Amino acid sequence: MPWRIDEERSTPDDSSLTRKILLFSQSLRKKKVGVTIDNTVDVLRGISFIDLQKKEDFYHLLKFNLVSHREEIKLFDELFERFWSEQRETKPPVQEGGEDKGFADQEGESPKGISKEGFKVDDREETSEGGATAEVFPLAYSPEEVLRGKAFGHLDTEELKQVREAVVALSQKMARRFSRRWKYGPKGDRLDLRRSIRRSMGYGGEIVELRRKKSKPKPLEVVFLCDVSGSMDIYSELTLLFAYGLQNNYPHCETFVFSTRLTRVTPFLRGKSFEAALSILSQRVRDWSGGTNIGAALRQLREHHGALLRPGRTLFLIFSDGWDRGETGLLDGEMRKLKRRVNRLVWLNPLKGSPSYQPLCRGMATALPYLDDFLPCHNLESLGQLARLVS
Amino acid sequence: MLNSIEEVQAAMERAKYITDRPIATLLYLALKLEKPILVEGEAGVGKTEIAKVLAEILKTKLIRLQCYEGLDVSTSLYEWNYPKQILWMKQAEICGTSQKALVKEIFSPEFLIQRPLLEAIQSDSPEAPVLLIDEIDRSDEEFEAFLLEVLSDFQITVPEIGTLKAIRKPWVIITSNRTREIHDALKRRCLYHWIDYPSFEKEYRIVMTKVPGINRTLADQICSFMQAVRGKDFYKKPGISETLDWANALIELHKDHLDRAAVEETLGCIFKYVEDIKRMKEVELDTCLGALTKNDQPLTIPA
Repeated sequence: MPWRIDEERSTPDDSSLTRKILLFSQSLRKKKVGVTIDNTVDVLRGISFIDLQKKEDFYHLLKFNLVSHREEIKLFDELFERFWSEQRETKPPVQEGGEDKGFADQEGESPKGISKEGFKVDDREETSEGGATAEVFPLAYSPEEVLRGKAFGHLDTEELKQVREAVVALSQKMARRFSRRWKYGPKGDRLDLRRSIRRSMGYGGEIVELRRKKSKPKPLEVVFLCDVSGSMDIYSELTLLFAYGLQNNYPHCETFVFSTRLTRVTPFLRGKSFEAALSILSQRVRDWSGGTNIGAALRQLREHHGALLRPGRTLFLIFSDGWDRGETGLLDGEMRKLKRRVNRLVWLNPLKGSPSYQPLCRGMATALPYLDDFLPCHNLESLGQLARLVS
Repeated sequence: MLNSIEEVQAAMERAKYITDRPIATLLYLALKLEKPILVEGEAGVGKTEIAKVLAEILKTKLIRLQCYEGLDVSTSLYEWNYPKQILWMKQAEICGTSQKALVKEIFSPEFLIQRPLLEAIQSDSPEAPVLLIDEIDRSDEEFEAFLLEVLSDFQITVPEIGTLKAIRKPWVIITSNRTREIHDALKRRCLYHWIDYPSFEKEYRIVMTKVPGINRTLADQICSFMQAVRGKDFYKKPGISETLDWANALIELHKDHLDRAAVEETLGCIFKYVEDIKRMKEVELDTCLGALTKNDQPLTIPA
């Protein structure tokens, strides 16, 4: 669509342009792009440095200042195109009156006039987004509370959306706990010269007491092994989402999926939108929703990615229902080897959520003796339990 | 001198950095608005180069802080020169200097070792230096919080001396490979730009500029091949640095065009994972080679 701003109006202190930029920032905020007031102010400052006749430069001025995540770029582009092209040429019927009025009483506008236009634009946003926002908005209590106990298998679309957000938030929280480390300690293994010398001043410069510090503990490495075989379909998407959230917030994390064969998926989860990641996964993982062979997958992991397993440092998470169709002997041997090479071995089983569940099926019964923790993961509550456990 | 986007772009090209208008706009706005820049993108798309070229066109010093796990105040900001302090104390003991004078002396700027951040703030060169904070995603979150503090007022407090304020605000460029998310507060303070893999035209110009002695056909084929490769799902897609490595390798091997044998011999320049090399050989090689023949129309880009 053609690009036009009237020349007389293009001065930096132009009120209508300023207002449009403010409204644009607000629309972005409404789409959960966290634009700060400083960002908007910087855009306004920047206007005087660029040639407003060039749409490209104006676009970049806004983009560099208002966007701060790769995921926001697409949203920004769409909104930019809609917002800044409809100035004159095309006027969607809904907002026509509002826009015109806004420009007409531009000279001596009353506060009432501003708010009026503000509301008009708000209305349009609401209608264009459809009913979804209107439904979420009136919730005064935390929807998470209600959803916490609900099993993943029984969610409708709207609930699924909320659970997804909660899962990502949870994984971020977990990532933050992993990253926290401590430093100073009286019995450390390294000499703290800074403190020793500071301390010696009291003894006239004689170093009497040596201060020590602990070296920072090495970060925990997380290896996530996720079962995507047929019996796990309902749960694997949310678990992958959890892995995805963790992967993008914590660098020391590796994710694998398996059913009969093992695939390393870390690079596919990193730095992409979850939808994009899922679609690549479904293309690359050839045996998605196939049978299960946990023992073979573990052996493959040990043989090809053994360097990832570090005794004392690796937290190994297996996510599976334990319906193993491979040899019991193989699984038993692999679990024993695995146990020796990791710090902590945790099995997450969605079936454990059911009160009548007994780990009787062959695979689960074989693996059980080697586990440090055996946890359910059928709902948000249980994923929260995992986050608490490892911190 | 750098008073328009065109001038910035021209200056960058003079410094042999082939660029496009968005990046020129980014630098221009950073200079005008005096804001830090945060660039994200895959490895090898030329993020670090931006800082180098900015220092070159401003004719100023580049101060680089390479981030890593466990980076802390004593390696990024300042450290006292302990051996010197100890020697001084011993000397003072012999000369009988008063304790008060001694304390004042050994905690003076003379005993301070400047690390990159302090160096950038204390620089007294006529033009403000460029401070490159490379791969911030590798550092810990606590360092990020600390950096936020430094970037907001460009001053550093050393308890024993007092507050050191920047003489000239350094130009700050932060890069990230996105192995983890950077905190929002820090991102929001910067001009943000995501650098994608280069377009065919841009990459072609880069290869022609940076690889001496390459002919147009080979450059054209290399770039078409790379564009095709990046369209596939590999664990690690090759960046511009891989393209340049590869082009140089092919020249060393006296190749003047691409064929199956030449590609197979040199896959190690393009891919860094065994799985990717295997996948290339077994699955994708034919389609990627196919992209070369399609692209046969004569080039209109100047060499």
